[in-house]
Amino acid sequence: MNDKVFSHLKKRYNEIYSIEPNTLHSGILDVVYKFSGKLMKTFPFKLFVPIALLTAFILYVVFGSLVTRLASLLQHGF
Amino acid sequence: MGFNITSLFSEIIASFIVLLRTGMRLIFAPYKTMRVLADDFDVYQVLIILTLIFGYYVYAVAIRSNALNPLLLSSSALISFLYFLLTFVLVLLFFYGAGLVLQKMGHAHVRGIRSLVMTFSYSLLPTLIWFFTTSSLFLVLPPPRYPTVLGTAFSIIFIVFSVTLLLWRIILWYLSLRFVYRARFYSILIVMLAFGVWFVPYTIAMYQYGIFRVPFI
Repeated sequence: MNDKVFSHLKKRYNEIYSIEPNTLHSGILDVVYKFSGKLMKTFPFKLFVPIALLTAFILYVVFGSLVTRLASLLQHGF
Repeated sequence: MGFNITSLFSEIIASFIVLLRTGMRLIFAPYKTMRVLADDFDVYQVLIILTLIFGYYVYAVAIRSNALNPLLLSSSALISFLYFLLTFVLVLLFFYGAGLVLQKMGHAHVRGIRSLVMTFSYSLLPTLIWFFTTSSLFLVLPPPRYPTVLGTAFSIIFIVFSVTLLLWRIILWYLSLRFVYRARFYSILIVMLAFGVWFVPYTIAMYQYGIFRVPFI
């Protein structure tokens, strides 16, 4: 293994192990964390957009046309 | 060593290009990008982000006041920007202090404040995008929205957009703390909750004094 490859691997190793792996001290929570973590590491919008769609849908089902008031409030928020 | 304006200018341009690239990477690979950012401090990139935020305030004042008076724009925008800076510094100090407390308790190995400044500045990008978009929409489709089909459809799309950016913001916030503190999930969660304890009343106070409607953070 030449020096260049070795130093690259060493750098990558240090990067990856710069933090300890997470544990939530619960089997189910660990599985959920690892699964969602995996999804969020690359292009997390594939998770964010469905969650946002679901949130908007629930808001619409629960509050009906009041969502227009929420949007108006947010539009005044800047 | 003399002051070289050409070299300064080229460094700013280079930092701007890096900022654009890093911003894109925060969309596609936030975890890896935040890990790199925690190890990499560049004052120019931070200053460019702060300049973009100041640019936003000028833009927002122009839209709100519906005027292009440079004196009014610069003075009002500067006041809003100074309040933003104050909030940003308070937030940084809180998180740095909280990190040191965690470290003393043996739950973290905090990197320097530079690391926190760098990652937190980058984590403001979703906020910046939301505020720029919202103020532009205010110009194109001024509120209030009415409960018609079009009004409801726009409201739902706008809420989806806002929630998406909020989630992105929260993830970048969490990742900044994860890489700066090198701490575990629960420790970070406790710090985030502790942040809410003072920041929510702070936001309400700022709203009541007419300084912020939605806090720029």
